[in-house]
Amino acid sequence: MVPTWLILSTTVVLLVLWLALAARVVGSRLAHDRLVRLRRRDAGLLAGGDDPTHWSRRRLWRTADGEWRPGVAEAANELVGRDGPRLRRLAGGDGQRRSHALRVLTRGGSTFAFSLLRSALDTEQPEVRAAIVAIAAEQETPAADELLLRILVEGSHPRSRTATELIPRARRLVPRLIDLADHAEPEVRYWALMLLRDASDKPGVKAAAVRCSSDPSGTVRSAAARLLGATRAADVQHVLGALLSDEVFFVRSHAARAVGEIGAEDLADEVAALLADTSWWVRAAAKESLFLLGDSGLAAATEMLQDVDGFARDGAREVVSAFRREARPLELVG
Amino acid sequence: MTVARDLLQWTVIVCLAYVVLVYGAYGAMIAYSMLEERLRRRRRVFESLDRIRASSLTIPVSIIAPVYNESPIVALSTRSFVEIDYPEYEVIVVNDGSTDDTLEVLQREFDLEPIEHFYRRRYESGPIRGLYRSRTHPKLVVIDKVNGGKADSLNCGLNLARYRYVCGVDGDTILSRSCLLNGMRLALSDPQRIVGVTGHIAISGRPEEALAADGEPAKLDSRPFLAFQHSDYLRSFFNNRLGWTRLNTMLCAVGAFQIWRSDVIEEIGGFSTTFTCEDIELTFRVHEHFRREGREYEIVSLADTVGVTEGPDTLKKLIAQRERWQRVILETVVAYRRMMFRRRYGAVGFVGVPFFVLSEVIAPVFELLALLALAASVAVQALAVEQALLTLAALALMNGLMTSAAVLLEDRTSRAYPLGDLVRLIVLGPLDLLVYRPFIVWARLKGTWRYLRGDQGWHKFERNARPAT
Repeated sequence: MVPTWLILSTTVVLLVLWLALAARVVGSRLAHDRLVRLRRRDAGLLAGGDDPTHWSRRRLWRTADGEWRPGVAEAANELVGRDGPRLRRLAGGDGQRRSHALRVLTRGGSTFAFSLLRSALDTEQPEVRAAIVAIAAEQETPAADELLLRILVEGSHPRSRTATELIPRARRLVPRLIDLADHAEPEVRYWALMLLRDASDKPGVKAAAVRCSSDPSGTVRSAAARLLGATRAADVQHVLGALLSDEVFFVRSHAARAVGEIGAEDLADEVAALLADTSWWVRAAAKESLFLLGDSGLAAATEMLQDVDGFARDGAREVVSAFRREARPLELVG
Repeated sequence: MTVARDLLQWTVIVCLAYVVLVYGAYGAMIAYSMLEERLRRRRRVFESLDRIRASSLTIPVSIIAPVYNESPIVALSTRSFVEIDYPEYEVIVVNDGSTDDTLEVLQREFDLEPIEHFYRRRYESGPIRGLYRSRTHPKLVVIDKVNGGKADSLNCGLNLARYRYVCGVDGDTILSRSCLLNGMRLALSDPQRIVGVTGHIAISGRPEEALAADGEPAKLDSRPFLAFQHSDYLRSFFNNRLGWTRLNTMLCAVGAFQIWRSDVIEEIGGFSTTFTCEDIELTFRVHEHFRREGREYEIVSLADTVGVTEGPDTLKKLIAQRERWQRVILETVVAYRRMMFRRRYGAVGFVGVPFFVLSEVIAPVFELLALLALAASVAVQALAVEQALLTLAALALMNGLMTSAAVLLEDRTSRAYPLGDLVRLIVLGPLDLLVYRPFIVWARLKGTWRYLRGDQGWHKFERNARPAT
C-alpha cells in the first residue's frame, strides 16, 4: 500500500527532529542555568567591591541587563562608556533588543536614555511599552516620574499597571496628581485620585477629593469617596453624606465604607438605611461601615432590626451578631 | 476477499488522512503556542511580581473550592489556599454534603466557629446546613451544604463571594503561592477585556510533596505512571491552551483553576448543573454569549504552573477519570454544535470547536479504527510486519515531538524542574503511544459509549493512599 522507503524515511526524519528538539530543551536549560550562575557570581563580586572596569563587554552586558540590584548601575555605566553608540543604535531599532538596550542605557545613566525612552513610546509593540514602564520604574529620578505620569495620562500602557509603578512615588508627586485630578479625561482623574490615597495627609489632597465628589463621572466620584475615607478627616462628613444617596451604586458603596473609615458617627443612621439598598454591594459596605462605627453603628443596626425591609432586618441582625463576637472589622461577609 | 481488502485499504487511507490532519492541527497550534510563549517571556523579563504584591490597586479575588469526600487532602489543599501570596482575597470552601469526615477535618485544622450570615441568592443551589469562619485564618469561610454536585457548590460559593473576581478551584489541588499574582497580573493588564484566566496544573500522586519551601512547584512524581499523566497535561496546556489564547479560542478553563470576572458569571447565570462537569461548558457558554452579542472579550491561559493536583495512581482510577472527561467533552460539544462554522462565532466557530471535534470527539473512534486496520493489514499481508512496526515508530516519535515541544515551552516559562526530570519526560515521550495511550483510548471509548447511554454520573475515584501521620 505504502512503500517501505517512505515510512522509513518519515520515521528517520521524525527521529532526527525529536533528537534535535530534545537537544534544544537540554541546551536551553543548561544555557539558562549557566547564565544564572554567572550573574549570581558577578553580583557577589560587585557587592564585594569588585571594579567592573576590567570586565569584558559580554560580562558587563550580562550584569547590566540582569536583575536590578546593587552594583548593576556601575556595570551598566561602564558598558555605556565603552559601547554607547552601539547601544543607542540598538535602542533606536526594533524588537526585544531595543528594550534591553534601553534598560542598559537607563541603568548606566546615559544622557540620551530618557529621550530614547520617550521616543520609543511611539512603538506599536505593547511589550516594548511594558518594558519602558518597568525601566522607568527602576529609576528614582524626576525624569522617570515625568515619564511614568506621561504614560499614565496618554494611556499608552494599561493605566492600572502604570499606576502600580507610580504608587511608591505618589507622595512626592502630590502637586502633579492634584492637577491631574482636574484632567479632561475621567479615567486620568480616577487614577490620580486613586494614587492620592497614598498621600491623603498631604495639603491640597482633601480639597481635590471634595472637588471631585461632584464630578460628572460616577467612577471619579467613587474614587473621591475612597480618597475621602483615606483622609480620615472628620470635616468631610457632609460630602460623604451627600454621596451616600448618589445615583450610582458603587459610589454609595464606597461612600458607606468611607463613613466607617473616618468614624463619622453622626451618619450612622444614614448608613444603616443603606442596609435596605437595592444593590448587594451597598448593603455589604453598609454592614462593614456600621461595624467600624462602633457603638453608634450597633445602635443604628439595632433600630433596623424592626425595619419593614427584609434585607435591612437580615443585615442588621448580622451586624448585631458580629458585634457579639470578637471585633473583626472588614471581615464581615455578605 | 477483494472487497475486504479494498475496505481495509480505504480504512487505512482514511486513518492516514486523519493522522495527517490531526497532527497538522497540533503542529499549527504548537506554532501559535510558541509565538504566545515568546511574547509572554519578553514581557515577563521586565515585569516585577513584587510591585503587584505591594500594590494597593490589585483587584480582590474570592476563591471558591467545592469539596466532596476529600478528607485525606482537604487540610493540605485548604492550607495552600489560605497561604496564597496576594494582597486581598477570601477563601470559601464548600463542603458538598461529604459522607466522610471532611467537615470535621476542616473544623479541627482551622478552628471553625459558626457564624450567622445572610447571603445573596443570585444562583440556585442546594440548602446550606451551616456556615463557619476560621478563628485562625479570618479569610477562610466554610459552607456546609446538602450534596448537589460541583456546579451546585460553586453556585453556592458565588452567592457568598464578595469580590469582583472569583476563582474556582478543586478541593484536591494544592495551589502555588504565586498563583493569584500570576493570574491577576494578566487580568490587571486589561480588566475590561479579560474576562477569564486559567493556568497549567501539574500532576502528582502526592501534590503536597511536589512544592518547594517557597510554595512553588519544583518536583515531578518519579513514578512513570504519574510522569505520563504529567506530560499529558503539559501537552494539553502548553501545546494547545497557549495557542488557543493567541487565537482567542480558549475553550476550556480548567476546573482546578479558573478565574472569572464575577459580573460575567452573573450575566450568564452561573454554573450549569445540567452537565456532568461545569468547566468546559461554562467556557463554551462565555464564548457563545460574548460572540453572539459582538462584545470584545478574552479568555486567557497562563504559561505558569499554578498548582499541583492529585493524579490517579492506579489504572482503574485513571480510566474512570478520563472516561468522565470524554463524556463531558461530548456533552458540551454536542450542546454547542451550533457554534461550528458560523460566522458569528468567528475563530471559536471556525478553529476552536472544529479543533476540539477533531482532536477530542472523534479521536477515539479513529484511534481504534487505526489500530484495527493496522493489525488486519498485517494479518492479510497487505502490510509487512516491518512496515507496521515502522508506522508505529513514526507515530510514537510524533508523540515524542509533541511532548518535547511542551517540555520546552514549560521549561522556558518556569525553569522549575531539575534537568533530570525534563530528560525523563522527553525520553518517556515516544513510549507514551505504546504504554499509556492505549488505556486512554480505552477510557475515551468507554466514555463515548456511556455518553451515548446517557450516563451523567461523576464516578469519583478514591483518593490516593497516604501513610498515616
